[in-house]
Amino acid sequence: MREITEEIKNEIKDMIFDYYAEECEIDPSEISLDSNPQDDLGGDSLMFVELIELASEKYDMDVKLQSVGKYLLKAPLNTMQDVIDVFCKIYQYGNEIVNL
Amino acid sequence: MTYKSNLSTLEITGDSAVITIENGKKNLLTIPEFIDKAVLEDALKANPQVTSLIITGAGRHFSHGADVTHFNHPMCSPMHSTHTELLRKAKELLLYIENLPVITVAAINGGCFGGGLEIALSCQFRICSKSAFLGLPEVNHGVIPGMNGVERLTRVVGKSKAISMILSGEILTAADAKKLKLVHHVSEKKDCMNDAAEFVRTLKEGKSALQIKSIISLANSTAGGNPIDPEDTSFDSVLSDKISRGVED
Repeated sequence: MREITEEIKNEIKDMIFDYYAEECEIDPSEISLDSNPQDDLGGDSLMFVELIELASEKYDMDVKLQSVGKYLLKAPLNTMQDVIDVFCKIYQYGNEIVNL
Repeated sequence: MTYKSNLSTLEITGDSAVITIENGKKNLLTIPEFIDKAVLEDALKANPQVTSLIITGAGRHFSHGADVTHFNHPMCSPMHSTHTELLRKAKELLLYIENLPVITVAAINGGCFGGGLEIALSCQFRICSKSAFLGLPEVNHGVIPGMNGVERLTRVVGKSKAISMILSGEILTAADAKKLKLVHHVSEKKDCMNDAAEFVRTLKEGKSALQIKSIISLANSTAGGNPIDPEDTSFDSVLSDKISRGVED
């Protein structure tokens, strides 16, 4: 398991908010930790997978799409807090996330 | 010229045609025949100058394929003739697109799954954005690709990879799809449409419609399993056309 600092967590949160704001064409200030990515922001289920793929190089994350898909069946993304938490878990555990 | 049919809009401008699939956020194929084959056929017959066709999806995604919630509907039973007929028409449409004597490109943004990928596979070229995902995940829904996607994927990526990819319902990233030569170019942009148009423009530049159509017809014939025909007169036709147009070398 890789350690994650508060600084990286905050950076990840900002990156995720910016990404959803851009993709959903809304102002980042309209997004809160309680926002539902699909119902409130108009996103879709593939957006998170795209985010992981796009950010994998920056955060040196080695994770297969199948592993992300399997984990999401156990941990649905109902709020933006969920999105951040799952992203941070993938950052920490990579492909091992399926065993959590 | 714009034609609306089933789930799509067909737009013809000069020598270029673009089909845009538009059905909700995911461009679901609630009707497998996403554009009426007769409409497409008539439009291309009325516009013989068309030498390229780009197929894309409106919004963020190419198409997420069939609406899987319909798989449990009685209408979807193979015993139901309507369903079988709809699928047969879709397969005929894809075969028609595959055999068109024009440059065909699927411009893929976002998700391209199931029937969406089957449509893309009927094109000669697939160009996608870097955030595209492609796969035939039908097995996860208890079925198999229904529009000859197994056969076409096998031709493109080879038998072993096609079988493992379809049986595992594997979803590929744009980069992985490029490595497998399932896609020909990955655009750095979010929307790959401009790259697809540029790709087509480069291929067409300086060639006559007859040259393009002759080359593609011969390639289609050979790819379709027909033997090489020594009696083929395409070369003579193109040469006569060049002379009659007064084209200098």
